[in-house]
Amino acid sequence: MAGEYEDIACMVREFAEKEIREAVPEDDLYPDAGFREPLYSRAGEVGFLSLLLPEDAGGAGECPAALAEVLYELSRVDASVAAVVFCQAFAHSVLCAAGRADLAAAEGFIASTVYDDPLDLAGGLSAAEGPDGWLLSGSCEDVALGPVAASLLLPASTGDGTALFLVPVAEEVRLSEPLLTLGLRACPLCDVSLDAAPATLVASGTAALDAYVGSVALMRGPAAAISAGIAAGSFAEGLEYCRGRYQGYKLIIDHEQMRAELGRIRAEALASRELFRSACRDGGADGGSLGLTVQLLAGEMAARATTDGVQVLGGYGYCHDCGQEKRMRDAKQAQCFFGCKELMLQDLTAAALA
Amino acid sequence: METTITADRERETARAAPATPNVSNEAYRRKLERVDAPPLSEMFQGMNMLKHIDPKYFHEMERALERARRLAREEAAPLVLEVDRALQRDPEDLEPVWELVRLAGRAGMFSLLIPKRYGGAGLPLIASAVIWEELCSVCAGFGNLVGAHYLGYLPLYASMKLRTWEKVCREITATERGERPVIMSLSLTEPLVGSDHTEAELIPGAKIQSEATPVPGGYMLNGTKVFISNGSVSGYSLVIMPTDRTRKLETLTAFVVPASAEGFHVDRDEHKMGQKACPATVMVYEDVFVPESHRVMPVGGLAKVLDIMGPTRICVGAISTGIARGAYEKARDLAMTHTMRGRPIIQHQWAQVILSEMLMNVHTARATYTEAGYCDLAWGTGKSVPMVRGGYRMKQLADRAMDTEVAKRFTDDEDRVAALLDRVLAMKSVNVPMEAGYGSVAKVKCSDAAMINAALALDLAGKAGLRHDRGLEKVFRDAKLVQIYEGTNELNRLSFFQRFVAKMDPSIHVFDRE
Ligand SMILES: Cc1cc2nc3c(=O)[nH]c(=O)nc-3n(C[C@H](O)[C@H](O)[C@H](O)COP(=O)(O)OP(=O)(O)OC[C@H]3O[C@@H](n4cnc5c(N)ncnc54)[C@H](O)[C@@H]3O)c2cc1C
Repeated sequence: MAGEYEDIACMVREFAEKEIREAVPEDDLYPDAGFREPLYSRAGEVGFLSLLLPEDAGGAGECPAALAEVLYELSRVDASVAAVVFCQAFAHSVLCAAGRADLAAAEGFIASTVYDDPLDLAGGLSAAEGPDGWLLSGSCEDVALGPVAASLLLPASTGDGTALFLVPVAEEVRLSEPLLTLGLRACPLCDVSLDAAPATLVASGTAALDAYVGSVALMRGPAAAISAGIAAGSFAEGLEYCRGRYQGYKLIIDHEQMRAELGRIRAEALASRELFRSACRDGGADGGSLGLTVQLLAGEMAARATTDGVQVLGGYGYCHDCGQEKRMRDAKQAQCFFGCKELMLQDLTAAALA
Repeated sequence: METTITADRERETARAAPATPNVSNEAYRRKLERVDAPPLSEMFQGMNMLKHIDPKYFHEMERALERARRLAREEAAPLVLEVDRALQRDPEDLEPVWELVRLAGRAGMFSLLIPKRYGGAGLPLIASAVIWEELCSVCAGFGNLVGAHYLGYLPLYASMKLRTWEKVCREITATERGERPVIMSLSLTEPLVGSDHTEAELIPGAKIQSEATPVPGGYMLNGTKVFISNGSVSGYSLVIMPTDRTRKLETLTAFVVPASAEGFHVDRDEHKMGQKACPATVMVYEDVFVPESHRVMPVGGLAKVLDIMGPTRICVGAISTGIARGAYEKARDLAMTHTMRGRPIIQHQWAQVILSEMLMNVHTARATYTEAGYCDLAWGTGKSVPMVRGGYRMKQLADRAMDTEVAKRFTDDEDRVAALLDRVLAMKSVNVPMEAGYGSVAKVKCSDAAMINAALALDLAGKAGLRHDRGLEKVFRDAKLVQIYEGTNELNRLSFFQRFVAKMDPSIHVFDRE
């Protein structure tokens, strides 16, 4: 454990056991089950939803390293809850980087496009400035926290390039039904279409891009922490199951093959944990290459650790009652934060060439 | 210098270490030579096949493929995402499953292997492989719904209990195009026994809780079976239980049990990650009486049948190849219709390489299950039936012979049937370990290809692959199952090792107690 965050990690572990664990299977049925508002009221009270906000804006003023530890601990129990905290923190990070912490301090969730490639923004939205301010029109897919948000942080093209806007959810904002996704289901997504929706300009031109891309670079470590937490959960459940399951004349933990499999899962869980911590220590200082690397590798490790985690439990691993199949889906979904992993590889080489 | 020292040391170590504790080096070397250099007939099953091939075989396969393709692409494809969605909402509401059962029934999918004289299509098993691949390329759950039916049907067919077999066949064909087709399932797995059911050597240690107690006129079945594919929609289940729990290996046998049997009930369907169109059911038997005529395997016969698992594993190979292909096809389509950084995904070189890799995986997987299919035809217990030159005529003759009263009376005599099975297994031209080994190769390699392709598809698609409505994430959820059922891939690897590697030295232990 990174010593300086031990207190915070302890607190999160306690919170996760008390408030989250029991409801994980039910919450994972979203959108067929409800979104757990009361859980997030409590998460808000203990400060999980404003970790990166400066203290004078009502937040905890923590750094991404602390956020990552929180996400890691939450993901060991339920990565969907971690994803909600992550999305909110990302929006806060962008707003603060753009010098608009005041907007971040408003009540409620801020939806954003965390699954989009930061170098491929503003696909379907355009912004026009009228006498009463900016109006946004067009559509945007896969907006994270969209179904539960009070406002949407969206990129749109202004004619002069891409700008960032904050759009309150109002009459002119049409949200699709919540989407059913592969994983992180209880961190809701929807499509959005806007019909001249009033919006506040957050930043434009290079300031907008710098705020957005800079925040993505800072958040890659925390994204990796989600993957690492999922991998750790997969190991814990796998180990526990193998200690109790008897097959082939003995407890399956005593088959060398199972030990090898669990050993691999453990190695990936431990390595991904060390990776996210090193990325957070680095804080994006090398132009984001370490963050990219860490998100990429931790994501791959978690995907393997959870697929193997299902295998360790045999048929039970494939069923909803145990957590492994959810972890396998969550891990694959978490690999897609900030775009497709193949593009990350391209960017990593491009960074070396720059 | 460094290299020489290392090489010298390696040679020294090799000299010092005994090659095996109980065989002299010379004998061991000779043994290795034999094992290391298999004959052509063992290396290339396809060539074996060509020696015997019947030209009708190709046409039969072609017709089967066309039929399955029409059903899958034109009729099932528009439904399967909706069915998956409905079952995610409520896995216990079986109406969407029945809709697919009816669809498959109308296309004659449940009587493909049933002889023509009972109203079926009379296809050989190998032709069914192309059907599973085709159905599963559109939806693995749909394909498995049909496949699991044959998992129950095939042991019944192989049992040689002709009267019971005929009765069930006629019921399947009579209801197939109706509202509630009678289909089958196989009930083997129990809460405490999964992998332990897949190898005869493991059965003595298995914690089997079920029992079919002999009573006058038949048996009283008690026990719980879990994860039974098609369980809650099957009209008959082939149920495996020992007649004496203290002598499991010696008394495991199979019964055909109708869903209407008193004392049987479905406890629940599992809420599982994928392949939702094929329910996995918990089945409970409480004092279920089954008449003697419905015991379809000699008592203790299961151990032999487990060794003839090769063909079902080949089917899983085909199912898996279908999933790998479905992942490729959906990823390719998505790559043509979606852009990244201003260009269609398919125009990115990295995406082209991924798609190529996926399609290559499909080709190698198909070659693997086909090769295993040839192995089954060349060495399996069913070798003489459909595939030798002029085999179709022979098959018809054999079918007709099996329909006679003499044949039925013969198969009423269990001892004679058991003796016949023993004789077949002892034939030089039958090599059950090789057939089972190739079955494991197909099962493991094709299912790994399915999982690899499903993951690659999502890597290629990015966020567009994560939404249910695009169909790609479903392939990922569906794919994982094939690495688990029909023996986990790990158990299949061990089983393959036993049959292909450990056979060279009896001192190598695989499944023993210790
Ligand atoms: C959706 C679904 C459908 C199914 N359909 C059917 C069906 O129609 N009919 C039916 O009878 N069954 C069915 N099954 C059951 C399936 O065949 C079993 O799940 C499978 O055989 C594995 O058994 P298990 O789940 O009990 O896992 P376990 O046997 O408990 O295995 C757990 C882990 O231990 C490992 N392991 C077990 N034994 C050993 C050993 N000796 N050495 C080393 N490692 C070992 C396994 O590889 C695995 O990783 C289905 C299962 C599922 C999930």
